[in-house]
Amino acid sequence: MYTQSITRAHRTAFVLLIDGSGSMAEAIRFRGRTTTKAEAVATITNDLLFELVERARRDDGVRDYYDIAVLGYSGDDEVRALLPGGRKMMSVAELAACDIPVRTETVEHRMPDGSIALREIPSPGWIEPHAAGSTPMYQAFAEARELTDAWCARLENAASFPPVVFNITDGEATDCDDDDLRAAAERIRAQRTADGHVLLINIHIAADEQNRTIFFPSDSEADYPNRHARLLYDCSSRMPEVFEPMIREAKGPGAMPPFRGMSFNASAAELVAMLNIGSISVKTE
Amino acid sequence: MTPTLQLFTRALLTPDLSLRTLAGAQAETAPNGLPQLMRTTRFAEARIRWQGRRWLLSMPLTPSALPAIERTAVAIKRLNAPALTDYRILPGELCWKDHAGIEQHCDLVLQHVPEGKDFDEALLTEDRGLLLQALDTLERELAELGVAHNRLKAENLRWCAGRLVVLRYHDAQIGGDRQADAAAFEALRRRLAATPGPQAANDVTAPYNPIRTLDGHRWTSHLFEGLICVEDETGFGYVDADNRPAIESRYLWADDFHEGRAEVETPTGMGLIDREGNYVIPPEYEIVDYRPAESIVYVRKEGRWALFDYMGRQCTEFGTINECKI
Repeated sequence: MYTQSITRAHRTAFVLLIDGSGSMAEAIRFRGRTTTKAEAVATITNDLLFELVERARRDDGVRDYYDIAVLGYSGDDEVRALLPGGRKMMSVAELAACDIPVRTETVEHRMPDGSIALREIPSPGWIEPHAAGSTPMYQAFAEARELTDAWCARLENAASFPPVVFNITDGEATDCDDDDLRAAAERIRAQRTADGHVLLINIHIAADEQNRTIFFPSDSEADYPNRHARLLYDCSSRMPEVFEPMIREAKGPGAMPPFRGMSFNASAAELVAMLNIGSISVKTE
Repeated sequence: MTPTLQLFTRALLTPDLSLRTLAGAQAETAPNGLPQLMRTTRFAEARIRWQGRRWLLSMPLTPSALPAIERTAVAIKRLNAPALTDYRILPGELCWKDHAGIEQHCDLVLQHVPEGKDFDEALLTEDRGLLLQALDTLERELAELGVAHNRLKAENLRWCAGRLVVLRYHDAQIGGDRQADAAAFEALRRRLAATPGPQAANDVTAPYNPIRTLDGHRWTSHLFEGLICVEDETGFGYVDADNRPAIESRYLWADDFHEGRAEVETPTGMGLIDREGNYVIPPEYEIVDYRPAESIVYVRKEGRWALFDYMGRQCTEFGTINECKI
């Protein structure tokens, strides 16, 4: 299970769900700077898309190793496609063929005299920060399930590594209760290919005075002080064994599986590491 | 933890903040300002300029990528052959902070790209007979060296100074199957035969052989700091520009001189010598990796690393590569 190499013959899919609700305008520390959660999430999402595109690039061009969907949820129970042209899902080669919008990222570094200096570097910018309205997470989960259901049903994907759904959010759903959300998550995770069930990874962004972080939590780390995080923990997939060595390496000595596909109170840095690990541990040939 | 491509890209854009040896490097970028990456199964690669020369800088994508090429990198360095270019692992070159704010390091692989033309460009501009001859020569040289490239193709060949040089040794094997590249060479010859010849710019062909010819040696390098590394029946040594012995040929292997120092290997291990052949670092270590640009030497003993200075003085205790800081 979860051992199928990702190739053009056996593609997979990545679905990114991005919380763009009003609370994402709140401040957060991100890469050493104070910014908004929305800005941090956009940066992280663009980083992941960049990683996916570049991982598929070979000397003969970008190969169609996977399909990608990016859905934003916010406003008046609105779920909308954020990829170029408003498409819900496109292949990585199609995404790479679009002009990459480039924005400027500010990098903070310390000078030899101890002072802080800022430097601007270009970075890809497919996704813009967004913060307005409610948090229709249930609706987003339903859309993700439809996408993964249709994708898994296609004959050519039957033996593929299953789709991976990333949900990046800062809070509770406003369009359902907790049990509804658990059920919606379970329906996503129930989809499968011959290689395994769809993986649902929840990334919870929440400021914390103690700078506490929990990263791919194991059962012994499941005592969360935040009820939204507990809910997201319940919604998250148990990480397959194939990912355990990398997760243990990232968490450090003493980390014991099984792990859940989630981060709690993640600062943006943990969020980057989690997304990348979740997406690149698998083999691409 | 293996770094991400995004992290590699940021490092290429901020080399002074993220790279140790290559702090002054400049990445080749697309018009949008982003470095252009290329990847193989196990490495991502970018083109950079550093110290006035062009290089390929590769980052491992999996934890197993670097161990697989360590022996190749050391062996290539010892071969010191004109068909091959400088190919080395830079220990702990990429620096970043992980999710917990802990500083992390990752080795990178650096390969020199000699001035010249890509093979495809050479097909359009160079005499077909010369290219065919160069392919024959390259195949013979690789066989003599015992190098199986295993990924020989046009993209990994470079035409420079009248000969072909191979790039990207990530899949190479030293002492492996000598016929491993035979099919690739045949494919290149077929491609050469199917390509129209270049338009004649003039009617004078002047092949240029940059290799200095010195009689009486099995192999010779180039002139560095007044000395030429040579291989004789008794081993590697050095002669001056007039082919007079300067340092006796007694080493299992020797490198060219840089800033008055050269790495050598003896039956007891690797060491570092000065221009008189005196040991600055005695030949008792597994690896002696001299960095002339920094005047420091990375030394490995029983799998652990320490830094030595130009005078051969040990500066750090033996430990992990990440602990090698002055």
